[in-house]
Amino acid sequence: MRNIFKKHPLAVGLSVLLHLILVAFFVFGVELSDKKVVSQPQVNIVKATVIDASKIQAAANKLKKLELKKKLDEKKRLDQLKKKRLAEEKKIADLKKKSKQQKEQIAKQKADEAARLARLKKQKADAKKKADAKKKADAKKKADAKKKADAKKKADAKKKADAKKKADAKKKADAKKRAVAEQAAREGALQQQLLEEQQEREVQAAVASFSDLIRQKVERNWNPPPGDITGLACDVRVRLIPGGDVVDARVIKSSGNAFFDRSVELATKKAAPLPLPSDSNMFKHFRTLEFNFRPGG
Amino acid sequence: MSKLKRLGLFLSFMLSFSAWGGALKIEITQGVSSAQPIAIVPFSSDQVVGGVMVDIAQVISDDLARSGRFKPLSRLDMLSKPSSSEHVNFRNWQVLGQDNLVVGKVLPAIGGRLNIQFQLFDVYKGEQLTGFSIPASQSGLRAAAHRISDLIYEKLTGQKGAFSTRIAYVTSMPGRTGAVEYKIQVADADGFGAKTIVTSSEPVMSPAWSPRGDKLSYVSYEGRRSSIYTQTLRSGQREKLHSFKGINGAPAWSPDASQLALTLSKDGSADIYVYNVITRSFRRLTRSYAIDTEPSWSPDGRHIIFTSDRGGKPQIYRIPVSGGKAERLSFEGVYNARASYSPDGKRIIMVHRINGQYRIASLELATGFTSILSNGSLDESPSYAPNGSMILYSTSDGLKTILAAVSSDGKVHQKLRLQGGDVREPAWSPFKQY
Amino acid sequence: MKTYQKLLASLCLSSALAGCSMLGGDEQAGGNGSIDGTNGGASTSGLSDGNNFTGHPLDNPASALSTKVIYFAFDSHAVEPQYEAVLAAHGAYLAANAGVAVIVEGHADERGTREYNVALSEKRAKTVQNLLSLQGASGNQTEAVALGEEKPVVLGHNEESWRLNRRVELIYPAH
Repeated sequence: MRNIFKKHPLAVGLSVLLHLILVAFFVFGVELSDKKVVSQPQVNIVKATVIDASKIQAAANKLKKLELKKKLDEKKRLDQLKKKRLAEEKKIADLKKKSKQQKEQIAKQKADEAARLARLKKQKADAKKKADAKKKADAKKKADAKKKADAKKKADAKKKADAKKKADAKKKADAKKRAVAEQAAREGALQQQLLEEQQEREVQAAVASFSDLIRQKVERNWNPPPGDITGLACDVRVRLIPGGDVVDARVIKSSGNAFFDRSVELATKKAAPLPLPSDSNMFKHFRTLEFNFRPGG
Repeated sequence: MSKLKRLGLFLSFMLSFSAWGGALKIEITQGVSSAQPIAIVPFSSDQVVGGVMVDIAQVISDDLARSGRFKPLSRLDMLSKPSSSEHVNFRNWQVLGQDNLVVGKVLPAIGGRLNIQFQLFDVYKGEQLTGFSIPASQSGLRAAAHRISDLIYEKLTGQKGAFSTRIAYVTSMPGRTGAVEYKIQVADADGFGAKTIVTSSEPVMSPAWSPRGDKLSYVSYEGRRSSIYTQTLRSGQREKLHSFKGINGAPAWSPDASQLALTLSKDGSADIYVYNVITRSFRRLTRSYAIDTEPSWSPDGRHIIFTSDRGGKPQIYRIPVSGGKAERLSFEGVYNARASYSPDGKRIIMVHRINGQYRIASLELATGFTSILSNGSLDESPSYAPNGSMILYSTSDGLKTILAAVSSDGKVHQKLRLQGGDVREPAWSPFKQY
Repeated sequence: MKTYQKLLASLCLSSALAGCSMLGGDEQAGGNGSIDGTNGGASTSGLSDGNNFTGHPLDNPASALSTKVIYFAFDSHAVEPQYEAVLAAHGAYLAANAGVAVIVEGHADERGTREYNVALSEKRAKTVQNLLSLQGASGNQTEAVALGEEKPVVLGHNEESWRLNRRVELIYPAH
């Protein structure tokens, strides 16, 4: 029963309501159009009973009595009726009242009903609403839940994603960081390399610059023999000690002219001490020099 | 950079500059040519009783300086004065920038003679380059010193030294009577020991050495006309070549001493003739209406160069000794005269007029390139040293005429002030024949 | 200055030997008028014009013959017009005096080489010699001698000195 109600709450409700109304009609009658109250006894669908003579006499008597009674009764009835009528009137009144009341009540009831209905409706609506709401809410909830779930999911996903993102970001950041670090490291290394290359260039520049100074000093001290010496070539290997002093100078490639050779050997010795950079780390570049004498270029 | 890479770079860096790999190479393309520094320490002679009369180290120093190839150190700058190797501290000479060091001593020898010992050192190597012991007499100390100069010069330049040679020249100055006296004198190459070989009241000119240095030919105007004489120096005896009417001038000995080229104008204008010393015959070499004079032999004896104005102005021409066509050699300037060959036959020197000034110029025969060697305005009579290193010539010094020398590359100049009076027409003797 | 000294000496000598002169005594102004010339070693001359010159014609200052040096332009052996009269006079004199000999001595200035200057000075001398011959002097009367730059009359490294050294001297040895 409950299931039916649950299943078809509206239908059941309505049915009950109608039955109640019907019952109410029967119970309290309904003045529909005039005042005349047809009072009908409430038709009860009663069962009719058979009457006997004696009963008639009795009945007659009774009737008489009855008549009397009737009279009386009638009177009574009339009284009663009056009373009844009064009562009925009262009743009618009451009934009126009642029906009014009833009406009112019905109305009320109606109203109530309506209200109830409304309420029901409302309720229903409410319920519906509620249900709806619930549904909605549920849906919402669901949706929400879903949403939530989704959101959660999303959030989760997001979270995950975020996390991932974060992780990724982190990873990325890490990677970036690492990359940056690597880059920095690379740059650092590159800078280091550049620095080293620069230093190397500076070293080479210093070597070149001092080579030039050495060349000039040797040229100043070279007294070539007179005559045509273009085309002659002589190489002299010279060993230096820090400070530029010459500890050894020997011809490694003779020009074929002993006087030319001697003049170049003298030049390398007389030019000592050769100009060297003051940085002792640079000395290694100058430890052994090879002078190529090529007059005329 | 990876560590490995860095290591590799470092290693290669090191290797390129290491002592056992390649050395740092520096190319030298030019120097400053100048006279070689040399320190000639006064020779000790304290072991010779009475000492010696010649400052041998000074003679050597002056010789080497005059050659233009050496720059002797002043004695005032010498930190020590060793006379033999055991007392030599090379550092003392290195600080003075002296490439070469000469030390020596004079020792007594038997019979009052002397012995000169000398050593030549390479100061920066700290080793002896040469050393000799030379016997000499007191009177021959200068000659011995010149011999040492020759030995040092040869060792340090590869060229034969010309310090034991002589020079002949003409002087003119008022004599005792006030009249001008003309002389030819012969002196050592440094001007010392001048001896007059001929004196005349009339001009003498054009002294010319025979190839062995034993004779001198010259032109004399004694008797107011020019004649050529050949005088043997040792004896003072001289022989007059057959003189012709007109010019007898400009004698020049062939390298093999068999002939004399000379100028005669007997057949019209001045021309070159060749005189055979043995047959005493004359052969005409040039024929022109122009002036042909001042002949000079090539070292191989095959050509004669001479001055000719056949082209209008004096220029240098060359003709085969056997005769033939004369070809012109000088093309720079409007006046070129009195040419002579360098001992190696590659150049001729001559008097060259430029911008109205008369200078000594050198013409390289292979290229025709002419370079001016002297810087006076009246320079003339150039004469090569027999080793080709220097050229003697005469130049004007105020109103006087003096001798000057220039190195054959024109770089080193000197003036020689031999004595009073005008000195001109130097003739450098050949190498001393030992 | 030797040549001029010689000339001066000659002048004095000839004055002293005026009496021995081959020339006629009529031309001698004052003096002793003796022909044989011996007059005690002195002679006098009056101060008169050339027409009355009583010395040696070679010494007559008014005569072209007194000029015995002629000068030349640089690097040239051409006789300049101004000296033509001089050479004409000397030529005529020589032509008229076959026994007189003259040395034609050529010189050059100091510039240039010595032997070439000898040849250059010879050209000058020979030019003069030729001109004298043209005037009638015979070949054996004249002798060309070339001294080059060996005997300058002036020492100096300037145009004036050089000009004076570029010359030919006519030297009469017997005079």
